[in-house]
Amino acid sequence: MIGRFLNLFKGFIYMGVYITTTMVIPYYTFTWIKEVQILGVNIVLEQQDYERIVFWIGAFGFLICACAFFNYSSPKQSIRKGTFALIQILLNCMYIWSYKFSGATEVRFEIVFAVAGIGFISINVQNMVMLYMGIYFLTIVLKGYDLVDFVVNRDKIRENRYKTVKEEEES
Amino acid sequence: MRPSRVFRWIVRIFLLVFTLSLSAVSFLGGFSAVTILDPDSYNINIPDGPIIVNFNVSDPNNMQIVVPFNISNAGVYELSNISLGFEIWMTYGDKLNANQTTIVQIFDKYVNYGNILPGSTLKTNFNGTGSDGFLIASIPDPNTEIDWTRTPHPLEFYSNFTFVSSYSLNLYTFTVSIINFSLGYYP
Amino acid sequence: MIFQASDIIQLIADIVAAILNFLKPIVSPMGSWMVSWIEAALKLFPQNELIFYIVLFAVIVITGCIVNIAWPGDKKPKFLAKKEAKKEELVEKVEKAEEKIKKKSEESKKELKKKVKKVKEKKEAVKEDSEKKLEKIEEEIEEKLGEVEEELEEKFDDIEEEIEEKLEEIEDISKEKLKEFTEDMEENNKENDEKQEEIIQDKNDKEKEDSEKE
Repeated sequence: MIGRFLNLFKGFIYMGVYITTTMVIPYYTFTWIKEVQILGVNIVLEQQDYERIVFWIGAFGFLICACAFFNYSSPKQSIRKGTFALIQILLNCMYIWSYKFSGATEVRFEIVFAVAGIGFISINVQNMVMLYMGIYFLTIVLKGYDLVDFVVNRDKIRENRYKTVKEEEES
Repeated sequence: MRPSRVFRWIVRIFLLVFTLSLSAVSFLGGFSAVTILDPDSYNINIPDGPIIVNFNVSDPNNMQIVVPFNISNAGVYELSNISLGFEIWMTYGDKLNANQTTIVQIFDKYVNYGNILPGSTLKTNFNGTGSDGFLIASIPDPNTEIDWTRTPHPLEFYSNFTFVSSYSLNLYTFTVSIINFSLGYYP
Repeated sequence: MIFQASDIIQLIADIVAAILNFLKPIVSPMGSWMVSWIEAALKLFPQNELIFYIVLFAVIVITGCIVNIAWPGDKKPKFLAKKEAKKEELVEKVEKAEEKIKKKSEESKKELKKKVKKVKEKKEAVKEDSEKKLEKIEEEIEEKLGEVEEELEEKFDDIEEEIEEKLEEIEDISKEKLKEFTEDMEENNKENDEKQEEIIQDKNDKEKEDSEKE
């Protein structure tokens, strides 16, 4: 009985962590860098880009947090845990793509001097994106492999889990 | 050890090394950017001295612009594929069009300066003389097309300046563009 | 210290650069494939409707709560319970079978003991019989041997007598034959002597003739 509520508690804790790392921190970071000063000149993130980024932070942030809750409140090595871990990774890929790289490989900042826009700075991150996405691909492969492993060996996993629970109860 | 465990560990180690490397590159790139762009360090000086210009449209072949500059790479990675571009636009009163204010591009040139290794400095001039950069064909005839009575100045010059470079192992390419920067007037 | 720190940083930067440059050609193609499907997938997600995502979030969290309360994973798995039930059944069967076997083995032991007794008694009876029979046979054999001995002795005596008679006969015959042989030998000797004398005579005659010729 205690086990299920412990799992739920763990799920809520991790959900809180993910809310902080995928929604709160990026939101405040982007709001902070929305306007920075370099060489005494204001550099401003274009409004359209900013709104788009904030939207995706919220949208995928919510989905990732929900999946994280389901994932961490599920029993160890269970199929549903593996499934939601995999979904979480896939959502994370889309989140990273849409927020960190703002759904494009070029981020544009306006240079504002004395209220007038006098230029822009743009950063093309295409090469960086490819590498990050490559890492995510490998992570997906690993999670997919784990899921297949959980499905194939589920009887043995459940047996071991039951034995562990029994031993803990006896001790 | 089961083969599945070995496979997992190999992929995890690969991911760890790669992620750490990427994070390190991102951090070092940011560190480099901060170092280079620090206003007190004067690592980027465009222009690094007086800009020499000759916008005498009566003698287009001798029109000239010289912009001295220097860039010091105080970061840890090479600044690669550095290119500098200038566009110059001229505002004048068009006699043929009821002295309406007209804007025409008279200069367009991009120069690639290669790479700057960490700790090195690129100190050179951006030059444009005559047909090397100036669009002589688009310069209006000073005798028949330019309204020399225009106020405040018959000819006004503005430039767009673009600086492009890659850093952090070509993972980031940044472009800085300043538009409508006033270069002065003539005469 | 600052100089050393910047050297260390540069060294780290160079190592990281080497690692990345080596791994980039492997990872970049994976990344470009990922970007292509992500861009396609993003088109499916509604944009500018945050409420959709909030509702989805609530649904997933509530479902997670219900599912993980109902199936927390600490109950005995059904297949394991079945397995254990089967195991218990098997154990019972084995115990029953063991009892049966025990009973049977005891009964069979008793029977065996009885049989062994009977066999022993029979063995003794047979032994006595056979001993008696043996004695009888021995006696008979002794008697018959005695008789045979007597008969043989008589026969031997008869044979001896016959042999003696025959020997005497052979002796007589051989004496006569010897006599005849010696007489024949004497005659032959005589003849030989006569012949020899004739030959010598002839020889002398020849020699005489030869000498006369010479």
